[in-house]
Amino acid sequence: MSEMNCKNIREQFALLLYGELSFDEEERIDSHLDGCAECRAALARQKVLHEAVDAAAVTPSPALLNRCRENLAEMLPREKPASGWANWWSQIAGNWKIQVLRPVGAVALLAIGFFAAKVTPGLSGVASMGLGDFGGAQVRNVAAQPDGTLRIVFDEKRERTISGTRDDQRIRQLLMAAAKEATDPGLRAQTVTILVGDANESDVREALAFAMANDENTNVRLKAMEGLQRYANDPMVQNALAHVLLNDPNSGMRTRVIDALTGHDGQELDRQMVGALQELMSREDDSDVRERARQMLHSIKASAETY
Amino acid sequence: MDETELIRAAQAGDSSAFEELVRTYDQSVLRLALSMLRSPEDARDVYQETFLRVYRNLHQFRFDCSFHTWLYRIATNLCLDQLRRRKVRREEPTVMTTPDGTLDRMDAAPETRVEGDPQRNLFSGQIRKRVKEALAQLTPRERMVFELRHYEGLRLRKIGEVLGTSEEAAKNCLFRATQKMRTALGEFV
Repeated sequence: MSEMNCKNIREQFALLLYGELSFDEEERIDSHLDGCAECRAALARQKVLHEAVDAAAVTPSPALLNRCRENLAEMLPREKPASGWANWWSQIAGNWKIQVLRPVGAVALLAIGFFAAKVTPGLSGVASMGLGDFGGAQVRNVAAQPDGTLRIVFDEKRERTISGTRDDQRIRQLLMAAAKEATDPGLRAQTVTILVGDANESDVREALAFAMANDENTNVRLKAMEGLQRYANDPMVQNALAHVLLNDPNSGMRTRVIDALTGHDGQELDRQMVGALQELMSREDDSDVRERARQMLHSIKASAETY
Repeated sequence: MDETELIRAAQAGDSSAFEELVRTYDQSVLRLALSMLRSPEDARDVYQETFLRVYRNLHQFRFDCSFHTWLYRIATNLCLDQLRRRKVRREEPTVMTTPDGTLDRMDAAPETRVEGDPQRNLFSGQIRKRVKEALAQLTPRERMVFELRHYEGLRLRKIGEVLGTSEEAAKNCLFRATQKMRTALGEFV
């Protein structure tokens, strides 16, 4: 391969990963990659970089959102004082009002509807999971203690702290709720990482599967998948992996699903998973993912096409 | 009620319809403003001004584009104006000096970390810091296109509509932005 050609190809990698190249442009790159190991390695590095940028994603705090809504509620009546807007807006602001707790550093509480999570068919048990005895609570800190217990801080009407081991049902409830509902993606990722240690329990696997299939943060989804890889024989986990395979926007996640399945023979994979792999072959844009899916289907002696 | 019906109802003065529109989009607008401006105060100003303008001008909305595009056009213009003003008065640092040392205002909100994996936390913290620095090196337009594509997930055609330019120009802008990001962050991969 000429250096000039490789340089031109590599310059297109970012747009390729965003899916912003034309069919012909992608074909040209695919064709080049087939014969150029260095560019394939460069593309893999570009994917790592692409995902690293996710680390700087910003999520507004509930308190900031609350302040914005309150300010807007104050401003709107001045815009149109004679109308009914002011009245309804005050009502909205009241409904949206977030209780900012004391002392300084306490985080805001949000109405539970704010966290309206996306629900995956078959995973609704997790979606409806609440905080039980801690109804309405918002987990804001999880810390591992030197003695092996976990210290969890959460807000309700007042701040409370509980300590206990992972097998304590209250601790388990709070961890699973935080994995689903916490606004801070860092906290969700940490909670998921802790839950991975109990992935042999089916309720924990359900919580991890929910995070893997639904969390908006790639890092959280990835951690959940890492925890579930050992349990790829579980039909519920396969169901969630099939969902990720066909719906996750991140090609790295899709690749890891196939990696998680590698080593399983056809009898261990349920029909839905095989169907998902076959469907992937017809709709996957990423040539690397497509090739892995093809090899996977070949290894379990399944057709790469649907009829 | 679908979005078109919601907008028509809001134009006719239906309060719950306007509420629904705000509820649908206000977190995205705030996230975009915060991500672009890296200042909670400035993001709050952009949020407020965006929805005030929507409120004032909704009766003029003629469905020539989607409501989302129209809303983002207002929000992105306000963000770009703010960034350009900053350039004039020198970039306003997010890091400020306090009696306890330097503090990045973007990190002021309590951030929780499990203490069990300090090495990984440290590495992701380093990446986050470097990405923020690399983003700060982009021009306002490059920064906007990059934010809209990478973090908001808008297609280039839509970004062109939002910014009042062509898809090709948005593509060129994204290309430049990603080249700069790769140069700045290349050592991490």
